[in-house]
Amino acid sequence: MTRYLMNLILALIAALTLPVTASAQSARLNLDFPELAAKASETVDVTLDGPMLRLAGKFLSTSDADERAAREVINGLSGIYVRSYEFDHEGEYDKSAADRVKAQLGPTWVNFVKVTSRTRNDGSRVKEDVNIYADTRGDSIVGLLIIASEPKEFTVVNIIGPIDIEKLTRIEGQFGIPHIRSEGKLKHGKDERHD
Amino acid sequence: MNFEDDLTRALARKSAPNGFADRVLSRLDAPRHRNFSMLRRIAAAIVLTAALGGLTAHQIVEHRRNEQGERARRQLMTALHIASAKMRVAQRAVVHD
Repeated sequence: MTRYLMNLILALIAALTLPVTASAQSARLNLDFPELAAKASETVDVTLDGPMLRLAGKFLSTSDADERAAREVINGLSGIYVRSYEFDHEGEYDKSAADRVKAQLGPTWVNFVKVTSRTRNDGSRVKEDVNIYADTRGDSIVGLLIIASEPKEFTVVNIIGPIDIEKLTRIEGQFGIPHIRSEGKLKHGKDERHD
Repeated sequence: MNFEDDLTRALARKSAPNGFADRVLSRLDAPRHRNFSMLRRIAAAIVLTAALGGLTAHQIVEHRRNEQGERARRQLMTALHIASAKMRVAQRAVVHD
């Protein structure tokens, strides 16, 4: 009888905790692209799990506006993963990498922004596909995926946790970075990886 | 009778030679002092070594933690820069459309 009760309690605990764990982990996607990393001339590889994210938060400056804004954005998040690859020549990477990421998305993911190309102010056309997906649970967003494909650049961002999209979008204005390409310092050499 | 006389002589109280007690005490006390002093020095050395070792280990751990935290901060800022830049690209396109 005691054993039966113990088994029942354990089963109940498992039943209660598993969906929470699965829910928390389901927003994290597999972002391993070894074939892209091998070909890329510049690679950005950021993996910040919960503990590292909290550690990073402790080291953010309170006097710097950018870092104060970053502190607000990461509040409540449980992971940020970024992979960005820049290539020397157009068409050097396999565009199916984006499809492999999209294939992992479950029914709770919604593609709420899809940009296929845009025109610069000078009239020149830039081929940049940006797809933004949100993992929605009820009214709240618990995960975000950004896939940006350019002829010579491929970027994937996966953010896990309750995200305030407005706040994230507003941040760039505070950071004052018009476009990632013009901010060469953000890029790292091929051999420099952040793990 | 002889036995009784022998026993009496054997058990008779005799005074120790002059300076006997001092000689015994000096021999006993001197090494004990040396041993005690040596033990104190060893104990002090152990305590000092442990304290210095602990302090060094703490400094190393703290230094590594700071390095790790600083690296995490830089990675976070890089990640947010990239995410916000891409969001901005999409936002601009949506506004233009």
